[in-house]
Amino acid sequence: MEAMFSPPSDLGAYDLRIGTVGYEYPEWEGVLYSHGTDKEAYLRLYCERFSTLELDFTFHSMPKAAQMRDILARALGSSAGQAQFQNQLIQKLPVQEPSGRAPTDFSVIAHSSLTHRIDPFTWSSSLRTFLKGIEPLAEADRLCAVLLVFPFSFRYREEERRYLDKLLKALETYPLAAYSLAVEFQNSEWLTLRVIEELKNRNVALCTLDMPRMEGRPPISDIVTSDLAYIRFLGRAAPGVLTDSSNSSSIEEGARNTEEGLWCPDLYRYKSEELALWIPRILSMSAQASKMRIFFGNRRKGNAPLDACAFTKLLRAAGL
Amino acid sequence: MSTGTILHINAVGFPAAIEMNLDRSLKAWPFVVANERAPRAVVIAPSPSAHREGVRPGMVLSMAKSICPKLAVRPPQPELYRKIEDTLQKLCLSFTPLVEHAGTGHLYLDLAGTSRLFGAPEDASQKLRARIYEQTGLTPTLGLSSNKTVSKVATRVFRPSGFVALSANEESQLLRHQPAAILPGIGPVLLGRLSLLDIEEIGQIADLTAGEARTLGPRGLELVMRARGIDSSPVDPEPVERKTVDDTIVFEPDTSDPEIMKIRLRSLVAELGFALRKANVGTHKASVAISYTDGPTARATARTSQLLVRDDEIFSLAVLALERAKKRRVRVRRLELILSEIDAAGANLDLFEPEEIRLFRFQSALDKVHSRFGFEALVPCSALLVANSLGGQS
Repeated sequence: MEAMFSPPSDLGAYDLRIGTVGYEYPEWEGVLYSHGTDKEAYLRLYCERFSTLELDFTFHSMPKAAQMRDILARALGSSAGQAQFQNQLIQKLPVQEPSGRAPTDFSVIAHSSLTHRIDPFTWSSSLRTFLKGIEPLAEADRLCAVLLVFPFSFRYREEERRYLDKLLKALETYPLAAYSLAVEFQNSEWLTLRVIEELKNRNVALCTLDMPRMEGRPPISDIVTSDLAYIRFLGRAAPGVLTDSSNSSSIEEGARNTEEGLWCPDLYRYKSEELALWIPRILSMSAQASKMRIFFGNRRKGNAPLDACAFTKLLRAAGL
Repeated sequence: MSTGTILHINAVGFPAAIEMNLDRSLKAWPFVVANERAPRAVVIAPSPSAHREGVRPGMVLSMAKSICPKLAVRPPQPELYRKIEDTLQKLCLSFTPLVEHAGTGHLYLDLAGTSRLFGAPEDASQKLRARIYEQTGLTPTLGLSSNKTVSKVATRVFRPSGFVALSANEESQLLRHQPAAILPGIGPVLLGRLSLLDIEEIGQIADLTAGEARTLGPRGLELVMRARGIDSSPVDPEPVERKTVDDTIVFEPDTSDPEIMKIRLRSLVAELGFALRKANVGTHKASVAISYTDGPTARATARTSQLLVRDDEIFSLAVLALERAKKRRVRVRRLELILSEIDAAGANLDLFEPEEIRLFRFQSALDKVHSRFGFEALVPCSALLVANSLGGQS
């Protein structure tokens, strides 16, 4: 069948970046970093490989401006220290982008006090503290997005809807340099036309998830609701029994379950054909969003950087 | 959790998407596809940015321009759109023979039994999505579930270019909190009634008891079933335009009396309309063929954009076709009625308009009698009079 349409030739210039959720994992030594690499050098080395990073420690501990300045300094030093640290990178992993690419940008997961342990009296001051903490990233024009990860227990009820509305409004009005907002719902109740339309109106990205299929969790789906398309690969380990996660404070809620031996998505290694099936989804999403960030959260055994590189290769081959 | 096999492809704003692919500079600009030279031009398809400004299909162009002063207008290219739609359909047919064309830019596919060739239904959908993009540049919405109703609701939620694949457990969860307005079969009038009952979400309709459902109208129970995600209608691969029902009457003796012709036409409508309603479909087009006593045959058609379900509506359309066909004063020997452009009833109609409820109830009662005792059991007086005066014929 003759094609009537040629995919645009400028897709290679599309602002699509792939990275991982976090970077500071000693078990990535031998995969991304060479054995015996100084922990202080992890970020610098990471930035040699990847042009985007999702910071997840901000979920567990409230970020501080000094901490962010330190992260920036270490990341900014990546080009200067390239020669010094190049030999500490695993050479078999390809560098994602050609030299001269844009510097690594950061997406930050909102602190748990804003999404998991919400106190109606203190959340607004927590928000101010959180935004103050990440301000250095915004000032340096390296803040791509703030991601709000809502747990399964955050349900589509009036109280929660009102809170989300207030939180998004507060985030929109906070005088920080330009950054995007993204929300991740672990409960499928939020996938309603009303919510999707509202996210579109507010230019807030609805995070697309690749995760184990379980009752009540979001189904396999993707939709672009803002200029940013935000995708997270959290692993697909076969689901066991869904434990009560309402009190869980971990982001993916998989960590606790892993210890209980029920399911272990962050140990999952994506197969090439599974990633290849994402290409049409990425193509379709790229037609609507001006930039896209993709993060791999299957961090155990260094699977996240391996999958990020494999996916990059596949997308490059597809002209993205 | 296994995903359903019924895929709905919804290419929202099909012509606008094609124009945008042809000229990428349009992406940054609100525009519509409309025939600007027509005296009362209407918007055929708005671009996503025009849609955000409030421009809607069917809107008068001057109004659209007043809403969005920067609006650009592209003339329609029906030939090209038809060609691309054909390509879309051929691509779908390369995945499964069970492809139903359900209006411009709308297709249903049944992917059951294709897993050996294309993998799981969600994977097959992605492969099809990729091929649609490669061949046409379109990025339609894809909804996958176990039936047509749920897939259609899903594409309405994830429009204009999203994708969702649902397992049986996920279907009712997805439907539950969606606005009632997007359930197929609900139009603005019924929506008003539902809102009086404080019903805003599909889940609330699903919770209605049988008795409560009946208060919504003659098809209230069916609506509740849909709200629960239950729909057994199969993907029908027969093209809509090829679906017809027809019947013929031979006058004995031949007649040129327009009243007799109308009475006989009414009985044809009653039989064909009954057959359509039994299949839960309606018609957009009536064609009449009359054979004159001296040999020649004349044909004429009448068409409406509204889906006609009731006998009185179909009869009005058939009379229009008859009047167009009957141009000579010569007596007529044979009258044929063909109803075509058949479409699923309920999906595009508000079947519950209050002023029409009485007519629907009447129609429903008539159908029950005909179904149980046959057509002879209950006929219009006029038909009886004609039959008596002519000594029975047909």
